[in-house]
Order: sequence, then C-alpha cells, then structure tokens
Amino acid sequence: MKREHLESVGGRGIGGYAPAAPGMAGTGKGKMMGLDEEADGGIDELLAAFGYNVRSSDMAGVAEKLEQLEMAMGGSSAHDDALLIHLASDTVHYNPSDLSSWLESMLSELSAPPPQLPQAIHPNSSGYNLPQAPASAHSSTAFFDPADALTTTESSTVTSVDFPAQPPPVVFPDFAVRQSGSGGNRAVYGSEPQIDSGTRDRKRMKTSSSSSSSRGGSGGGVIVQSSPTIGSLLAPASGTEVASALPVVMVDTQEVGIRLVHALMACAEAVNEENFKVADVLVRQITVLASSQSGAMRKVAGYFAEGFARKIYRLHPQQDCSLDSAFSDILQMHFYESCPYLKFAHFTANQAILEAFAGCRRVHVIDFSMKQGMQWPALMQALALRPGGPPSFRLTGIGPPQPDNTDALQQVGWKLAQLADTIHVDFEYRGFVANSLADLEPFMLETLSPASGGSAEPEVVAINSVFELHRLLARPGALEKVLATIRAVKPRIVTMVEQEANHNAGPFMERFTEALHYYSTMFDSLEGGAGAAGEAQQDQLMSEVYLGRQICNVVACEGSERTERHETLTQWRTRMGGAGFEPVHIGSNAFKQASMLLALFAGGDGYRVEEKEGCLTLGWHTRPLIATSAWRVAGATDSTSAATDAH
Amino acid sequence: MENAEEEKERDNTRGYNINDNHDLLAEILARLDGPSLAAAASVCRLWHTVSRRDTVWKALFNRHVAADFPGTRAVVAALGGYRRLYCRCVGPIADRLAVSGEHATTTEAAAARLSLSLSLFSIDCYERLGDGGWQRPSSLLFLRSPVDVS
Repeated sequence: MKREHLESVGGRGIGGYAPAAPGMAGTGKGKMMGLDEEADGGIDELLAAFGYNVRSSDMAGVAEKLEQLEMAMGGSSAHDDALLIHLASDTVHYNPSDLSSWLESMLSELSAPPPQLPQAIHPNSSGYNLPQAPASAHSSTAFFDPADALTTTESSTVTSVDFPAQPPPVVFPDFAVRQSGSGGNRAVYGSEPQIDSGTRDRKRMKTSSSSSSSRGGSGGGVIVQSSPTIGSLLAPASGTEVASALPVVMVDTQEVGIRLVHALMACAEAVNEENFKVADVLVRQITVLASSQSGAMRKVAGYFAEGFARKIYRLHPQQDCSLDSAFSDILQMHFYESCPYLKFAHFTANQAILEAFAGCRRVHVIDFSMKQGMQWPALMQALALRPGGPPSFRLTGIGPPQPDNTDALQQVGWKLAQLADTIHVDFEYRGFVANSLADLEPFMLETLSPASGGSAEPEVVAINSVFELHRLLARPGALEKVLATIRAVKPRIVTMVEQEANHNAGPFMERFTEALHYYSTMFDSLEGGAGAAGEAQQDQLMSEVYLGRQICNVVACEGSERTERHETLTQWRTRMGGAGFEPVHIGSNAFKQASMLLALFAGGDGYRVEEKEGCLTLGWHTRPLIATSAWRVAGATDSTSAATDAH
Repeated sequence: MENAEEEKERDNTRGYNINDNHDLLAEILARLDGPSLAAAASVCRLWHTVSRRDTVWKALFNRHVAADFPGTRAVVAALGGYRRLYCRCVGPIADRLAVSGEHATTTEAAAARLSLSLSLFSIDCYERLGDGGWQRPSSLLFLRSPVDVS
C-alpha cells in the first residue's frame, strides 16, 4: 500500500507537472531515472531505488500523509483544471524526493482549494478506459523512457505494468479489482467505491505505464496475493465486482506480488539478453520482494531467483553425479509421500500393465525409473489376487551408479523379493546400473536363458518409465536410440509418465514463463496439504527442494546439462508416433482408482483427474501437471499375444 | 425369599461370564465398528487379546468393503493381517471418503476401494521390510488427519 501510494502520488505529482512546469518534471525525471544508491542507514531501500529519500522510521507518518493527500486530491473531474492551474502557478514546489516535507507542503497547499485532481495528468480525460499502452507511454515519457525501461534502471522495470488482454480479476475481502473496458486491473478503495474510482485508478495506473518494449507474450497480467492461490490468479477468469464498505486501502502484499512477478519477468529478460549487471540487481530485488510474500509464491520466487543467480554467476551445480542421484532419490521419496503425483503415476501405470498382462503366465517388467521400487508392491499384490492366480513375475530395474559402492538396486530387489515371497508370487529380479538409458542394448534386456523359458510360455514384456524419458532429450539421438531399443524388445505395453509442460522450447523467455506458471501451480498444490505435523512438514519441505532443483535446472543450465526437458503430451505423442508406437487407451478402472486415491488426499478437492484421448492427466484445478500414457508397438502381430489373449 | 432369589441370580450370573467363552466374545466384538473395537480393546487384558484376533477385524473389514477377491485372505494374512489392514488403510480410507461424501454403494466402487486399500497396504508393508532405511514408513501418512497442536 505504502509503496504504491508513493509511486502513484509521486508519479502523478511529477508527471502532472510535466506539461505545466518542465523544470520540475526535469528534476523529477532526473531523480526517477537515477539509480540512487541506498545511502546511509535508515533510508528505505526500495524507495531509494525510485529516487525518494524516506527514513524508515518516518514511514508510518509518510503513509498517513499520503492518505490524506489522496483524500484531498480525490474528486470528480470537473474541477481538475482549477487545481492544476492552482498548483502550477501559485504554489511553491518542493523537491519530492524528500517525501516527508513534500507531503506536508502539498497538504498545506491543498487544504485551502477544493480537493481536485489535475486533469492534464491523465492522458484521456474522457471515458473510463485505462490508458491504452501507447497512450500511457506517451503521457509518461517525461519520466519513463520506454526504450531503455528494461535495460537501464531498475525502477522503471519494476513499476511498469503489463496490460494483458484479459487480466485476471481478484476478489479480496477488503477491496475489489475490476476490469475496465479496455482491460487492466484497478483497485477500488473501500472508502470511495464507485464514481471516483475512475480517476483514482487512472492516477494509480498512471505510473504503471506499460513500456512498449516489454516482454512480448509474457505470461499475462498476474496479481499475486497471499491468501488465494497463485494458480487461480494466473489463469484468467471472468471478472466480478465487489465494492467493500470498509474504509481500507489496498493490502500491501498484492502490490508487492505484482511487482515480484514483474521483477521475475524482467530478470529473465535481462538474463536472456546477457545483461548480467541489471539481472544481478533484479535478483536482489526479487529476494527482497519475495520475503514479503507468504506461502507458495515466496518459495517459487526464491527458487527462480536462485536459478537466475546460478546463471549469472555461472555456478554450475557441482554435479557429482553419483552423490546427486542418491540425494535426488531421497528427495523424490519425500515428494512421493507428500503429494499424490507419483502415487497417481504408479497406480495408473500399474493398472495399464495389469490389463496388458491379463491371461499371461510369465511376465517381465523393465523399469527405467527403479529408484526405491515403490511402484511394484502394489502390482505384485494385484497380480497375486487376480483370477487364475499370479504369474511368474520378473523385474529388471535400471538405475544410475551409486556413490558409495552400495548396490542400491540389489537392495531394492531383495526387499521386493521378500514381499513377493510372503504373498507367494514367483519373483525374479535383475538390476542394471547405467549412466544413461541410451547405454542400454536390447540384448541386455531380453530373457537370459531361452532354453528354460522356451518350454514354458514366452515372456510378455512391459516397459515402465516415470519422469525419465525427458532427460534423454538433452543429448541428440539418445531418445531415438532408447525407443529403438524398446521396440527391439517387443513389449506388450510401454507406460510413460511425464510432466505436462513445455520446458524445452527454444527461446528462453517462453521456457521461463511456462516454468513459472507450472511450478507456481505445483507449489500451490503442495501448500494445500500443509500445516500438518512435523513429518508432513518435512516431507513438504523436501518436496519443495526437489522441485526447486528442477527449477534451477530449467533456468540455469543449457545444453547437455539441462536435463529437465519436459514436453507436453501432444509433443510426446508426436515423438512416439514417429518412432513406431501407437497409443493404448488406459481403461476406466485406472480412472476410478485414481479419482478415489485423490479423494484421500487432504487438499483433495483441488486435484483433478482428466482423461484425454486415452491418457490420464493429474492436475491442480484447471492446470494438468502430469500425464500417464500407454503405448504399444504399432501393428504388432504377436502370435503369442493372439494365443494368450484371454479376450 | 429375597435372599434365595438373589442368591439364585447370583448363581446364574456367576455361572455364566462372557469372559469365559472367548470365541463368543470374539463373535460379539466382531460386530463392533472400528472405534468401538478399539475402545473394547482397552477394557482389560483378556478383551485386549481377544479383540486382536484377526477374525474380528476381518469381519469389520468385510462390512466396510463389500467386495472380495478370492485369495484375499491369504494375501492379507501374509502382508500382516486384517487388523493392520484396517487400522492402517481401510479405516482411514473409509473416514476420508465419508468426509468427502463418497460411499461405496456400487460393487464397482467397492471393488475399487478394496483394490486401492490393498495396494496401499502392500506399499506400507514393503516399506516396513528391510532395515528401515527411512526413518519411519510414511507412505500412508497422507491418510492421517493433521493434528492441531495449537
């Protein structure tokens, strides 16, 4: 609240003087454009960035005076001229950078004449519409040069607001945000609900002129608040209007939230243009702004800031690959426990595999994402209970090399064997250590001894991959090789779970905005089940670290280091189709089980299971986040499948 | 006369005590619901022992999950028994789903609930195997309601 006030009043004050008193505007402009150092202690840092010297201790008093000034200057547009003339000619103008005394002088000036709003400040006096982007840019060229808004001063980037076509409105108990005809967000102060809101809003938005050079196709106008979820805000929705009767001014966090998002966007652009000096300043600003937020937004902003910092300082995440994999396994376990995404992945994949294995007496599952093997107990149990009794079950697990020579894969296999023993399922296990899936060859994965297996029925193979295939996109040709290997093994079914996002686009900005939206939604969903006991909190924290590492990878790494190359279901469909696979529809059983599973989670009503052309997606509210799909080799005429097909 | 009647009554009651017949006690306890059964287990050592019989919990389980796969009993017994299954999975699941308004009315829904319970149970058993690498098996933590410690 305070900051926006200062901006609006200061900006209006300065801008308003532009036509009337160029000298004043010049001074103001100079102040605004200059990158003021935060001088001595006690001066508020953020304001100093804008060119104002305000002591932190004075803040409360300054804010009060601003409110009074606001009241004094609010009013219908009819008398604007009078005030302008008065202010321009008869009053003594003080340097607005010393905000405290400036306010006093303004108040004393205005207490005499009727409270009016200078007309000329606003670019379009007629109508309700917010200034169109170019118009407002013109009006404020006095103190914002759009051309170098992003590259020179931090103040200009932060205060410029991008007006999207359909900004999301926000309904908040103390105030309302309304959409104007031309689009744009305004806040209505509780004390003056309807009429003056036009002028009021214009004067507020005045300073927030959209610079014409701002990010093309940025992620839409966003307002972030502490209480409602980010996801609902980032997605445009229909506007509603609520005029509050409470005489409250807008909550601080909302404005800071907007600024935070814009700081993130600006920093991304700066990083993209390799303007690391500006980016550095912005990263610090992001950190400061983020600390005032709460919940998911703060964390997401923090991780993105970390990613930017890594990029700027060229901090390559000390990739001790093997140590890294053990650590990420632990993180993934916590992620497994705290939210339903991995469980959903496992349950739906298992259901698809179970259906594919119907009627087969010998089954073989090859798991590309073995980790702790949490997917397989449920499958074994389901196999044990299927009509006709369990088949003999073989499992091949693929995993990365471990740091301390402990054979993690073997340990997992041993545990699974124990479980299989108790439920009387004939079980065989083999583990493969591989740095990358592309190192696998078909002969490794095939049945060892055809002789013994030949007399009995041949094996039916299923291949399972959870969040593994996208890493292959970091090296050209790797995915093609793996898909060829898969095809060579002739699986009955290939189940694949991947993140539903495009974090592999060419331009950095696209990748960044997509990732911002995606991870904000993810973190939102994590917040849903929060506030629980210590263990659950620890789980949540570790899950956030897990996601944070992905964020850093998306933002800071390039080339073969950037392994988090997520792609959407549509993109994967194209790839799989091109590699000779055809989709298998995941049945309704999986859908029902998944829905029931989600109903069990604390934040249950936020999660959504959807079926999209035979694939299942799990999302948070309207945004799908992960997708499970199943495939088989196109046109497979497997004689054994015809024989053993029970249908 | 009163004395005689009282004495006769006392004889009768003394002659028959529910605690004498454990199977009968088990039959009765098998008709209780989860919380009541837990309360019954706190009455005395005998009741504690009897109420821990798996048959009692199996009856409770069958009332909650109207479906049954052949061979379930063997699998459940192998994985740790109906009591554990109920306490860790079926009970909390039933509570959660009741809160969210779903009831296992159709056979399909019941079958789905059963398979979900068994899957989660098997995962939990799996976690408890081995040397306890993770501090505590916590894959089912999400089923427990958050405790307000304010």
